[in-house]
Amino acid sequence: MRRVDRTNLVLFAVIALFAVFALGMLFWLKGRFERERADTIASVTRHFSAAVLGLPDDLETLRFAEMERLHETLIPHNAYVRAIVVAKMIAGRGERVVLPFFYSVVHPDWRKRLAQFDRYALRQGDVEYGAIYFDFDNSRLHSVRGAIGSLAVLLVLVLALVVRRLWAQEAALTRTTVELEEKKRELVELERLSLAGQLSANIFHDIRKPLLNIRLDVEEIEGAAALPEPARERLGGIRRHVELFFSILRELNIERFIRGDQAGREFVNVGELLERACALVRYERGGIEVRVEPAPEHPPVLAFPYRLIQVFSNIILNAYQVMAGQGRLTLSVAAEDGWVVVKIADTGPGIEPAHLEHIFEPFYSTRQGEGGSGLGLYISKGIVEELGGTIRVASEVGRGSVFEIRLPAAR
Amino acid sequence: MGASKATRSWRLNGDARTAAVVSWLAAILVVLSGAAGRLVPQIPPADSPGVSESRRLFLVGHMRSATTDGLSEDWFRRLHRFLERDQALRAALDRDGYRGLGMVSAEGFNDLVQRMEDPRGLDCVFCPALAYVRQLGDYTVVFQLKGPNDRGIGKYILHSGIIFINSYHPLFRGTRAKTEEVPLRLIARDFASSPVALISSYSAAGYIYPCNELFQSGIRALPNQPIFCGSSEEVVKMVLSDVVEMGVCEQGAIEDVWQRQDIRVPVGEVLDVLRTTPGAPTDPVVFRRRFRPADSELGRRLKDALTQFFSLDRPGQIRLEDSDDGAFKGLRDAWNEFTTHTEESNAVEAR
Repeated sequence: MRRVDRTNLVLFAVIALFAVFALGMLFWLKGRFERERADTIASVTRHFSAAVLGLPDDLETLRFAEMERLHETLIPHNAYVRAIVVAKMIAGRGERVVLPFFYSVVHPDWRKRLAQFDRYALRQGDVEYGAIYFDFDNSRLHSVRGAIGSLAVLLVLVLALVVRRLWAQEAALTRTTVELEEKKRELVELERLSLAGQLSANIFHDIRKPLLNIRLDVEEIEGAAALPEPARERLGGIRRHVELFFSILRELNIERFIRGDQAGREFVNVGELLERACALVRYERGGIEVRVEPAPEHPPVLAFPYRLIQVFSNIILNAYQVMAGQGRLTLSVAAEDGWVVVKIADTGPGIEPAHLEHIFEPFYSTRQGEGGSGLGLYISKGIVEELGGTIRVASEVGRGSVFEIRLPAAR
Repeated sequence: MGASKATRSWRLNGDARTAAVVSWLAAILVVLSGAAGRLVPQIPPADSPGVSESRRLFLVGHMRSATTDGLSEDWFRRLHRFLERDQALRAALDRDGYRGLGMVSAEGFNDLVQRMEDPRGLDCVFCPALAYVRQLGDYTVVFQLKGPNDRGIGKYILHSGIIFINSYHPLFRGTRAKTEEVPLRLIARDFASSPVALISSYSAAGYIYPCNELFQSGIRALPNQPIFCGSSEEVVKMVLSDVVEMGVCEQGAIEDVWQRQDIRVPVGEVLDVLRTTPGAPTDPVVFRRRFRPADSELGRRLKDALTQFFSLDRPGQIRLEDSDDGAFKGLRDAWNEFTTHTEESNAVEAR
């Protein structure tokens, strides 16, 4: 795209250069025409001097043969003058056409005709002794002027196209810059989330060791000494709490999830994974009623369990967040013609139709600025499709949304 | 003493040497001038004594601006080259003691007449008819020039003059009333008071005859504002372009101009010929009497050479027709009449 634009610009530049060059040439030609025409006028007027035509009160100097000879010398080879008419000023009578001498005879309306020509007065000092009427052949000049006009229009068009193209590119560049800025911000957010994940993993790892020590110490204390009952009960409580921590840790396998370890696929029970995902994000549940519909018998699915947990927890977490601690979340699993279908329905505000078709796109979030990265559903969709399944959503504004995840049943 | 003699001797020798050098230089100059004279024919002025009586040039004269169309300077140069190449003519010139043939271009009418009156002046002249009539030298007419519009009457070539006006002139009659002749007095009065285009003051058909014609009206018909144009064609153009309203030229000139410029407007719509004069003889070619072809070998050779040249090169369709002095008797009478009228008019004016 960028290369095509550059080619166009180069083409425009070449055309513009050509047009400028041609315009320059034409202006030079026009200047030359005008100079030569001026030279012609000067030459002709110089030749028809008072010595040839005679002053107004001098009729004897006039020689028609001499004028005709001058005319034959000056005009037939001239590219700028179609014809000239020479008039002599006669004292007390005004102008009379003397070249061609029969002009007034052939054209009784000669004064009217000559009014259409360009008149150049012949003077000696202050005395006007005649005039030369030029019938200029301006066809070449008009052609050049026409060509100049056409080229100028072409040049303006080309420049307009170039400017338009540059504007478009500048606008695209601005848009891209803005988008890049947004992406940069998103990347920073992702980096922050990633760092948070890493920190979480490290914290879990670091907490496990002292807790293991606590558990060992508690077990040693319980087995080694005869303790009073209240103390033993307290120690039992401590041991149970620690066990609970490890069971939760084991149950969620959260460390693996956070670290993203790439384990192999395994046959998983989707219903169990759904419950584990629900448990994983229960901290956001608030007062939301969670209804897990009894799961009929359904075949297992060959998948990465932690990834499916990621998908389910992501959708459930979204549902919790949009319901803001109120409403109902319904989870169901069913088997349908070789598919295991999971439905997660909430009674939240629903999704606007304008947003609905974009929610699986990366960095698209209706909760921008509220902590949403816009990647959750995009990643979920990628995981489901990687497993050979589909994910889709149905929503009604004011009534809620239903996410349907279809996963291929293992054979 | 010896030294003094030696010094004087040296001085004498020095003077003698200087005199010798000067003599040599003079001799070289004389030789060089003679050589230059042979290379380029020297045209002696009319009042100069001539180079040498025995070895002078045979001079052919003409007017610088010939009234007859076509006989230009360039044409006379061609004639000169042609005559110089004519072996028989050269031999005849040599026999008569001439060292060659020269062309003399006279500055004007009076210069030509003066050169013709000089006994050692021009030997053959292409002259205006009036110049032949007015000169006092002993010339005889050999040829008359005949243009396409000139007519032969008997054995002589004549052409008439015309007085014409353009359509802006008050006497212009248009095409409808041409049968009615304009009174001579009206023409003569206008002729004498308004600018009139004429060929020249020495043109027989273009000046002398029309003036004589108008003198008959009793009005002094010499134009008060004459515009001498040099040729009939120029006169026609002058009147047609309305620089002047009246003109006098040789008959046929209008038709010539019309034909040459292919003018489609009928002549009668724009020009009106008021009077046509009696025929005047056309310009002659005259020889000194001693070279009359009947008596002189040189005259015969020159006549033959001119005839031959005119058969090859005829500018403006001009031909040479044999003629004699009798053709110009009428013109001589007309000239006398003209001078008489002019003198009378001048006398009246002076009173």
